[in-house]
Amino acid sequence: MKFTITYLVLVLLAAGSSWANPALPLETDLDGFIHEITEKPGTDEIRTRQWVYPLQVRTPIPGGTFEVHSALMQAEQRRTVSPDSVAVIDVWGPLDTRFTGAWRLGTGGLISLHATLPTGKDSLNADEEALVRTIARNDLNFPVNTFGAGFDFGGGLSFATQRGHIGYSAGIAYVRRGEYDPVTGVANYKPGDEATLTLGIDYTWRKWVLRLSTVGSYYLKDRLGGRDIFRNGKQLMIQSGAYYEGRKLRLEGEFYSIIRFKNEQIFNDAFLYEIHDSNGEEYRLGMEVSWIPTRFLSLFGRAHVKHVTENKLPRFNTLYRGRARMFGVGGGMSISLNRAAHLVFRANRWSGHTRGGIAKLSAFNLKAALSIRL
Amino acid sequence: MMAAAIASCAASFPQRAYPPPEEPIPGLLPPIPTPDPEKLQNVAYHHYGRGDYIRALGFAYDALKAAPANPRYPILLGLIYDQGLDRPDLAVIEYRKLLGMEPSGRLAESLEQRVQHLRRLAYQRQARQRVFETVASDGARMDLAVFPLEPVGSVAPPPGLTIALVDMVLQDLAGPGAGIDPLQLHIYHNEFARHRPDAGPSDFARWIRASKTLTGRLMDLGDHRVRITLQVFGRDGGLLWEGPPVTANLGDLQTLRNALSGQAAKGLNLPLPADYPPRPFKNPVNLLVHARALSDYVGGDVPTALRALESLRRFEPRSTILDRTLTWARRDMAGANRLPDLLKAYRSLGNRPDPLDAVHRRLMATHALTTPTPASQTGSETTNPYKPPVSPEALP
Repeated sequence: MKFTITYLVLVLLAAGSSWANPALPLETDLDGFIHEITEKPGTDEIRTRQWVYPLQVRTPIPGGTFEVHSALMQAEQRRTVSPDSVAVIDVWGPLDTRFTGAWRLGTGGLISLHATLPTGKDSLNADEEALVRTIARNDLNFPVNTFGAGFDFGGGLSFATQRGHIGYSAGIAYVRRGEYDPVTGVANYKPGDEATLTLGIDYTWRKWVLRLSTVGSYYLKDRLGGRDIFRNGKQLMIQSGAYYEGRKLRLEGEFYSIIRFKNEQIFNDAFLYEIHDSNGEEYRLGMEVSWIPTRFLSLFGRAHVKHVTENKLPRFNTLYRGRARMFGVGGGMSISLNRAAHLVFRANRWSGHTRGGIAKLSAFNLKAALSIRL
Repeated sequence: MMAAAIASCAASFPQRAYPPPEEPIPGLLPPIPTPDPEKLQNVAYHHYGRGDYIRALGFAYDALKAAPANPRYPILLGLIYDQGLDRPDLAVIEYRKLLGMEPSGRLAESLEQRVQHLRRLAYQRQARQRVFETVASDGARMDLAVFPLEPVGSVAPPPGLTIALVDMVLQDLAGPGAGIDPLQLHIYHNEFARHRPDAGPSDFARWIRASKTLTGRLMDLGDHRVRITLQVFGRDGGLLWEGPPVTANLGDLQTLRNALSGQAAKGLNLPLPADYPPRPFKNPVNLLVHARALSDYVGGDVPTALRALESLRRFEPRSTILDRTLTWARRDMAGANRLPDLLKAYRSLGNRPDPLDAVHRRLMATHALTTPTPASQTGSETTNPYKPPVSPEALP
């Protein structure tokens, strides 16, 4: 119901804008993607699938652009209970609706503000909660890792400058998170606000760019019923990359190192750092080649590696998470049907293992997107 | 089937846009310059290398129009005018555009040196062209010109004093924002005097056609004492203004300078600086040595002028007038040999990115990391893993 209302609002917005000002360009993206992961811990098989149907509408506004985005998600998990029996959990519902405005500040500045309306599914029951726990796991790679949340709002401010071959940049952002009811029986949960600082440097030589960026994220305390209960560990991400951008050929190689520090939790009414770091660290390597044979067609191929280290908890602890590794290859094409309509198809396949090598893993991701300027 | 569909698209839409890259904020893409300035620049350089400077100019201007922030295009235009078409006046304009883009220290230094060299050449050429013009041109109408003082009386003043005193006054009047270029004014009267040695200030005023020409009369009273009467001539050579005689001792240059500058400002209706800089020279000998070097410099004998000025520097370490002339001579001397450096810089700039593109790329990369796009939009795993509150460790 919520999604229907959101969808109607978006459509009415699009239509209303067009009728009010026929000259106003309005871009609409209609997408759909599926992401499925199959884990085989021993003889069992757990297949988790995520279907997402995003819709976004974008329009220029004075000095910038304005965008409304929402999506519908269906998640399904099939677990082999016995050779003859499969347990199925199926959840579907809308995601939150995000409004974003972005404005250029001269040539070297950019500011964006966003607000997320809590149109997403919340108050999950026990089965739904179990499924969301799976798609939220860091050792897997589901794109969307939760349904709805509260009313969030925030903004980001970035600046960049170029001196000869070298470009420098800095960005700050803050997100204020709103209260919501994540699962049945847990009401007024307020996730901690998030502050982010990014610093970056580029070295450009002809069509080659070498890039180094660092992103530090600081999380405030999560609260439940007005009481501090948890704080996500601070996170430091280092991204390095090399890029080549020719008119026909584009190459991209990126390496991400995500370091997550200890969480803080309640222990005997005291708010303390956890004894053992429950957050594994994460490394990602990605390479992409794009070839543009004509002005209206682009073909691309991708390869990815993701490695998550085991966390520091004892093996008997239920929150222990072993190392995981995934290798992926894929490709796709982007087609311009005309100046106002673009199509993108993408397919990726992964294989690897989780739970310290005990569980074999395979996954795929298919995406189709149509972008139309009305 | 797919190939046929693509081919039919290509046939029906010849002006095809590239497929959209996955930008974090697609609506804020920079405008794509059409046509490609880099290609235009390559064609311009090709014609420049073959000596077809007119065609090279056309393509280079198109490249600059398409990417006005790229420092490579003004330098190519400067090289075409400088080395190719031998138009120092136009090369200076292009090099100054590049200086306005705040290039790196070494390139800025080379450019400033080359610009000084070309300015002198351009002024000399303009002055010589005007000397040989049969009909006075209104093309370069000036507000102010200067002419050396006219010696009067039975005793000839020391050589160079007639221009040294005018130069002292000119330095005071040519403050920031005054729009007075002492180099240009000195080159004009020097070239005029070289070609018409018998002409007087009235002839010069008619020739230069400046709104006002500052000059005067100088009488040597002996014992280092002089009497100076400043005059201002109009465009038609008629006397517009004559100040009261100023009598002073050359040993007290500060008093003499203050009196003359005050008179000149009154006669020309120009503002004077609130504070006079320190006395121009310690003694009249240094004043005359400087005047001689200035004449050498504006006459084109840069090495001789530079030697004299460097020697004088040891005795006058704080003279602002000497600093000015010495800077001219030093830059000019070095600038005469700076063409290969500028060519090298041009080639080196080819390895640099278009600054607007590079800033946009860096800005978007930063903003995408700072405020990530929702994963439901990209369909890919976010780089900023979010721990939802349903995680067991997050719940009490």
